[in-house]
Amino acid sequence: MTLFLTTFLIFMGIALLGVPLIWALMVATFAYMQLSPNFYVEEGMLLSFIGGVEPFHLLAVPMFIVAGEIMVAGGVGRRMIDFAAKALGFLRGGLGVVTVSSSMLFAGVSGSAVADSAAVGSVMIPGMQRRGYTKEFAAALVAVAGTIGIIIPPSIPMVIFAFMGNVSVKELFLAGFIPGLLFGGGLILWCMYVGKARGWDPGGERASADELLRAFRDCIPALLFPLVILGGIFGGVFTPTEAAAVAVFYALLVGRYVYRELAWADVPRILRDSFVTSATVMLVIGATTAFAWVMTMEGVPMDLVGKLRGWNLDKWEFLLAVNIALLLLGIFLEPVPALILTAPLLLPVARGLDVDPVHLGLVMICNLAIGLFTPPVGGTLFVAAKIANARMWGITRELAPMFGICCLVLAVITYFPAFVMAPVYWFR
Amino acid sequence: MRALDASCALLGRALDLFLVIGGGGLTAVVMANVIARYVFNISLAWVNEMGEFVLLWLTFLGGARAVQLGAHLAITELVDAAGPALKRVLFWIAELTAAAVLLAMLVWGFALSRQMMGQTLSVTYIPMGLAYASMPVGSVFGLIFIARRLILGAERAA
Repeated sequence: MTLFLTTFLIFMGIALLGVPLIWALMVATFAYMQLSPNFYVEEGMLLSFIGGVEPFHLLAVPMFIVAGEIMVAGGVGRRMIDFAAKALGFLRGGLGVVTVSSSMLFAGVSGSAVADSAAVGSVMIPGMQRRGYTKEFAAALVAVAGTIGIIIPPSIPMVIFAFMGNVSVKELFLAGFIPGLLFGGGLILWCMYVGKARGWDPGGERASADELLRAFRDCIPALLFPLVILGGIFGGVFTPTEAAAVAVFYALLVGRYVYRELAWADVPRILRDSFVTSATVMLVIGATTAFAWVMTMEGVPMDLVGKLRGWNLDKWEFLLAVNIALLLLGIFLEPVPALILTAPLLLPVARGLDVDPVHLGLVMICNLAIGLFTPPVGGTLFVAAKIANARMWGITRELAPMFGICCLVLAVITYFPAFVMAPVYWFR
Repeated sequence: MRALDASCALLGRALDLFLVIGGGGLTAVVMANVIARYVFNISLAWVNEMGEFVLLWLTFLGGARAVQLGAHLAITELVDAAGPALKRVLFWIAELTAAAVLLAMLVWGFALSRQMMGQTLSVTYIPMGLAYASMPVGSVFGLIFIARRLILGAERAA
């Protein structure tokens, strides 16, 4: 256990120097093997690295990234924002509400929070600034709302947890709906309050029924997308991995032939960028798997289970400990590596305490989604700050109340499983 | 030096081509498998094995390209705040750490890949060593890109 913490600190130290996470993780893994009294073969570690990257279902990672990029290039994101603006823009704090609701719509087509923040932020941050919102608030809102991208299905972290925990992707996807609506609803209320209290945004004009209908009709191919993807998965037509490929082709069809905004010439660039991005994600997955392999060989999960047994935690105390630990870990780590590192530790304990593994996965992913916007390290935070060109400290102050709202929602998700898991139980 | 620069640029373009053809092709094959299952009622057994094989190569070669583009995820708060001298030191630390890890992955990855040459995949009979060779090959490319950056400085935007 001490050795585990030491090597984790080595990783953190190196990473804070600006060394890319993949190399920092590998150095920590090599250090772990060297410092341990046990003997390791380096090839064995690399074998587990490859084992972490290789599984066929992980193809969902690059393909969902490609699909998201094609959606944006094909004008899907813009139409979703337009529809949300016509439907809800008249509310107080209207543009904030539109930002959150279009993030939720986009979450239904994208499996990545960073993609969600980028797609919505590039349109909504300048828009909010024009109406008098500060860029710090705009950036904070986009960073928080984007995390709904991995909570409302499809979701890349859910695919990965499902594989690690040997649970059904379908059930995890089903479980994501209510939490996604709760996070979105909480943020929308906050935007309405801020719009009123700070007098930024009295709300735009109410769209006529005709305009609203037109925006909706324009949006239908985009709104059908989650139906096709999720319907196909839940109906057993295709696997979640295949769904990602279907998503790519659906996005191509809509972007090229329905909206006609996608040029064939854009496709190679999108593929190149997406597969480079996904390679960086996959390598971190592999390196984390290798680190987790050494950690498991060293018996850290067993130690932890033993310690927790000694403390005699009940189910709820355990989940509270999970919440706190993952909030702290999420400050430094992105959801996918954090899942790979902690799932092998938490799953056996959860099984012993009679926690539904699907619920555990849901709690962990919602928890780590919050970590995506907590400074200093966070995917959606980086993207939003870059688009808004805002300072980290200013954003942090605006993030604080939103962080509070998210923690409240997280508590509901953690301690009222019967409510958030209702769709799962319904279909079981 | 010009030759090094030119060959790195060429290598980068070749990797791009592989990512586009390999990645796009794989997506098309997975999609075709869905259609084949419903329209022609056949399942292509080789798709899963082929998919894993190509995914490994996409990952390690894409990772090498990410080294060239500086696209690997990193925490840049300290680097951004640092003065020019410290920045230079941090740059060298990052590049040398990457080079050391890549060298290790090259040496042991090569050994692993050789040990695996004897075993074949069950449907396609491809030696597993060929799939695992993606790690040392990607590492070599990554090392070349780092060497280029240390000798010639940052690349022109690609």
